Amino acid sequence: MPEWTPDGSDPETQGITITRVFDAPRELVFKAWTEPERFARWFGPSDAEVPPSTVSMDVRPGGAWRATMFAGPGRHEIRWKGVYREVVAPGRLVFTISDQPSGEHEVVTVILTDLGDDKTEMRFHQVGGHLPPEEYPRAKHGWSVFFERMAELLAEA
Amino acid sequence: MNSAVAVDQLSSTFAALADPTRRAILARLADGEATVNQLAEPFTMSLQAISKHLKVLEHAGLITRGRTAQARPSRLHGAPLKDAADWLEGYRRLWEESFDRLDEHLKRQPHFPALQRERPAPPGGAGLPT
Repeated sequence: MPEWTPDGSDPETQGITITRVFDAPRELVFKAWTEPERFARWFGPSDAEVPPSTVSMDVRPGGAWRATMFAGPGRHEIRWKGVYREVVAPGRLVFTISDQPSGEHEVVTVILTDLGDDKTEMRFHQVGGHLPPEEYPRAKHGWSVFFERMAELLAEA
Repeated sequence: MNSAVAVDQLSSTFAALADPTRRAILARLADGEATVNQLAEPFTMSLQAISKHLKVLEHAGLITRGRTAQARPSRLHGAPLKDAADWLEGYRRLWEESFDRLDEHLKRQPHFPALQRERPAPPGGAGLPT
């Protein structure tokens, strides 16, 4: 049973899924996600800055986190925030993320697997949190495939 | 990150897309405009039900409907879908670049495998504090 989505549907067809292997033990990867000083050093694109002083993390179910990012040459300010849902060190982290004051948010799941040799596989999944789980489509083709097809069709237009 | 795109529009778009019948309708309209009768063909549901779906899609700005009294053909309006696709793509780019940086960050971290590896559970002592 896939551990991504509440209804067990295929994670590959919804939202964003990224898998990476890092040359570091799980504990360090988990710390990178959950310690403000470390998180500030990698979160964001290469032309963005997250001052460590803007990051706070209350790493427990129901705890809040936030970070302020200054993005791009114009140093456009983005206020990220969210709430942790599941915290199981060093293997599993589920939290919401939003840059909207209105509370529209996405749900992120991070699963870390020890591959031996001090290597860690990280499976990352982000899915929209603004629809109740039972409304998630159980379609043959998920949103990402659909969007890709639409984008192709629109590009031809 | 997505400040240029009204959050309400995205919510309407995603809510409209959450239904498989509506997605099928949009896919059909991608091939060209169609009347309610034409759109209803593949489905066993009533014309009324299809019309309800079309109202949701129209309200979300995903289709426009002609004003000709009888036929009222529906036509795809692509901008909100493209916005939604761009929005999701923006998140993907954010994370891919972040993970590149995370990779670099982790490579620079000293770590001592012998100390940080989880200790195996003592034989016969599962559940006891170590």
